[in-house]
Amino acid sequence: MVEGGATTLDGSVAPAAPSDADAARQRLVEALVATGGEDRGAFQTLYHLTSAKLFGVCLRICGDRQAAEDVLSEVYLTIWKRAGAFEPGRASPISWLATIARNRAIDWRRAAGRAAPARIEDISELADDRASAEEILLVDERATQLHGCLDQLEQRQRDAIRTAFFDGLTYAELAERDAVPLGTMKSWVRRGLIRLKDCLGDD
Amino acid sequence: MTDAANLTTGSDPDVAAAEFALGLLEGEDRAIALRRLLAEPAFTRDVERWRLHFGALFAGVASVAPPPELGERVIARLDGPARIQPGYWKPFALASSLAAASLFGLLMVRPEPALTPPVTITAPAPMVAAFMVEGIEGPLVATYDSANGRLSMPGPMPIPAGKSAQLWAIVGTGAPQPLGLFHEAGARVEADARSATPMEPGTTFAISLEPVGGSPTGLPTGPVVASATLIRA
Repeated sequence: MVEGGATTLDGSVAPAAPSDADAARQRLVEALVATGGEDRGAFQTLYHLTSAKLFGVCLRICGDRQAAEDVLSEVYLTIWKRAGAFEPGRASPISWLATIARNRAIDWRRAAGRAAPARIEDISELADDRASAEEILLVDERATQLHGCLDQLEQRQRDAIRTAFFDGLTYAELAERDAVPLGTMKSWVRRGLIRLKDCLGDD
Repeated sequence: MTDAANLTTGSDPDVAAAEFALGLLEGEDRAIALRRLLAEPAFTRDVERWRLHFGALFAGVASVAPPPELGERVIARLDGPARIQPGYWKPFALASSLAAASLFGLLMVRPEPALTPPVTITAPAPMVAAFMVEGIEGPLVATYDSANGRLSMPGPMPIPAGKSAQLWAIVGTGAPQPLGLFHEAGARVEADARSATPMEPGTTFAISLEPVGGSPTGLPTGPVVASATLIRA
């Protein structure tokens, strides 16, 4: 969708000028807010701007194309009904949307009794070196900072954090997946989170 | 790499907010975090901040264009069967109340079920939440109508003079979201439960007593008088 439709954004490979990212984000916020007012045109714009990103999220979590399509369709119906509750100042629009997609997809996977599709390290970085319009929306300071800090963690810590986030796995499920005692898993992840906290400088 | 660092156990820095935001906790640990979420504004802010940080992980997911016809299908469905007629749940309410009441005599700290029950994505089932309200005997079974986003339960609700009873939702790993104030609706009381995040099974609802008009801060400021977990009836 975006690949075909977006004009200048898609052509200009990252790093995008901050003003481009701001403008893109602003456009998305406006589309989302107008969708909250049941504006179908705005909804179509929203779909156009975000469906590739959200489909990527669904596919990543479901690991099954047909299921990802079904889930994506539910995700947009949910967005249509809930957009009015989006608070522009409080959340990044794409994160808000992607969270809905993630939660729906995790629900589907749990209901289907499926295990997580693949170890994240195997696929997460695929095809990710080309900035598309949606990537520009996300490349804000926070994203850059988080990724920089995650890079400082041990591989297994990073892996566990990402798996918890994308696959909705708890400590116990992570421990089972990696066949390590629960206490060991907790200790790994906690140490990772402590380092992350220090690195992000949140206090 | 740095295994030597931070090997302490008892006095580790508090990363419960991060653990909660990631959804790592379950059982009693999750119940403790939920309690802190409702009682400690600083904890809530931490959770919110972590959630924003972790949201950046979406940037690492490759975009994939969905099939072109999917967008048309979605738009064709906007006014379709997804919108349920008002009143649809009513005949089910009593039976679900009884079922839920027997299943769920819960209090604040009861952790939510470990897994959401099987989800039929296209046909939402009625959802209920059994509240223990201070000053009222037995659980009050609230029904959540996903068609109009209202949570309603048998009234009246004992609200002290000069206060409003406000509904909150904790969806997944998020901070409490302020929802509507309870008001009378016939023999029942109801509150607007429309929110930024869909109300899924497992959502925790809480009711706090706030200044008239609701919390001025966007987080609970008064005592939490009841809470319950939303389940499918």
